[in-house]
Amino acid sequence: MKRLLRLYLKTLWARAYVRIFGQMREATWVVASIVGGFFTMMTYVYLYRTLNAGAEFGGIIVLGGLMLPFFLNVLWGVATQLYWEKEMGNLEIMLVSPASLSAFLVGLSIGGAIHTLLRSTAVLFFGLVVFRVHFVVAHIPQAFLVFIVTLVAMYGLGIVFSSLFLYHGRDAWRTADLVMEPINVFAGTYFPARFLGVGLLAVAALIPATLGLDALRQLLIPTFVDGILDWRWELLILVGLGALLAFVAQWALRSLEYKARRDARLTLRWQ
Amino acid sequence: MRGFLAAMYVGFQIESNWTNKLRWALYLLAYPLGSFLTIMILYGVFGKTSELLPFAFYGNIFYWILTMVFFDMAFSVHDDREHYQTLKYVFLSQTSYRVYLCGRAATRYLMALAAVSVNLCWILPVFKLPLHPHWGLLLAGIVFGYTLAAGLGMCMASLFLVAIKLDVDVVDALFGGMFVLSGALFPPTAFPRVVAVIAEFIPISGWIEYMRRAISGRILSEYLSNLNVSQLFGRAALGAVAVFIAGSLLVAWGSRQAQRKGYIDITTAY
Repeated sequence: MKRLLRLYLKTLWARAYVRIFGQMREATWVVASIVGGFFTMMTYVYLYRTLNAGAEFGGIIVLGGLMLPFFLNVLWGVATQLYWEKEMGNLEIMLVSPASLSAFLVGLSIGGAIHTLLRSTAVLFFGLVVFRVHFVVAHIPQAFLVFIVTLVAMYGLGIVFSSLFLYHGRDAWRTADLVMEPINVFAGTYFPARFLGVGLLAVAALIPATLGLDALRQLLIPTFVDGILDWRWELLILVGLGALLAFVAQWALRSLEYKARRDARLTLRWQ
Repeated sequence: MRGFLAAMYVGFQIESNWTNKLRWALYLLAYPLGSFLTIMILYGVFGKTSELLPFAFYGNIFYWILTMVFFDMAFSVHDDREHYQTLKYVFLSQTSYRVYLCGRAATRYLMALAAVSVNLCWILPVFKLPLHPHWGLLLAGIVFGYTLAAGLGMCMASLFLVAIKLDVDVVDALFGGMFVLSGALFPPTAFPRVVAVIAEFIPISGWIEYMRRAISGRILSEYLSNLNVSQLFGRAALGAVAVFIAGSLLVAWGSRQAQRKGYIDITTAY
């Protein structure tokens, strides 16, 4: 048991290490992701200014800009990762090693979250300085708690999707490309999720970022009045969602790995 | 011409043969909706109080068509070199790489146009967007759009040819910058004066505004309202040709550099 735990943690750290430090080796990647995030934020800040929307929309967009890199990391850095490993020929090497796939994915998520945090913080900093957005600092500890729980749930969702993408080939990549923007919109990255209306909101609430962002906006933006539920309820739902997704992720990974082995899809490339 | 058609065919296969044709057609039609969702929702919320949203809607649609082409062309270098490992065969063939890229761009452009055209059939009546198309101007604009998109795509492709570790984040950042400055979503007059002047002379800005006028038959905002359609036509044509020439030269230079550095068949696993 002790040996297994040690192996799990070593695998976890090995994959997290690559994500934390490997991604920092190319300066262009870091700069481009920060600049890209900033431009997206700038687009919507200016759009709302042109529309004469309230001052709180600056804060809404800046917080959306904070969460956006995490969402992109979950989708392209976790969910599609096993597909890319398969395409590069690494997956077969990983599978013949004694390391577990779940340790690999959890490491990937932790490493991804840490390196994305640095980029997100930079985007947040530029947003605060350039657009002069003011937040309520009294609720920072609660906001931090919401933020961490949201990340856990989001990365749990990423691991669930990675199992699906392990089995599927190029169609999985296409699906990720197809759902990227709608999920972004449903999560309320660019506007309060309440704008979606009750019907769409019921679906959108299944995306952890939707409730997480809404709770963060309630806690940090003094004039934000478009909240969905009280932030405490949203936090509770996120905790439940996180636990559920962790369970589903474990189950999905086992089932899909078995199915992929049975159907000989683990080493099938370019399909 | 045979090389161009072959490249179009390759592009079509890469885009479509991952599933059956019916599912692919549905995917093609659904794909742009994600990019228009934000505007649709904001239209619902602010639509009654702002005249700006037809401007933003059309701008978003035309910008999306361009991005489909230049993102695909930039990524095709990485995809062909690292993923499918076929870039070396393209260089070994009789067809020049520039023609191959233009063929790939043509497929993507036609797909994007088809997807947008079908979606506009329901978007226009539902959102009551102004529609008084001048078909001649629109047709010319479609040709300029291809020229502009292929030119920009070749610029991006040349960047990827000479840099083996570039991430798509770089392309995203460039597209993000162009999106802000192009006046696709809001008039760049909202920017400080210097930035607004720069934005006005970006080739994409002129083309998008020209297409807005060609399809809506109206001036939708004060932005570039001092230019009549003929002047916009000239600006869109000139911009498209200039970008295409720049892209062609850059791809020629990038190809030589990549061959010299041994980047044509390199695999980095990035």
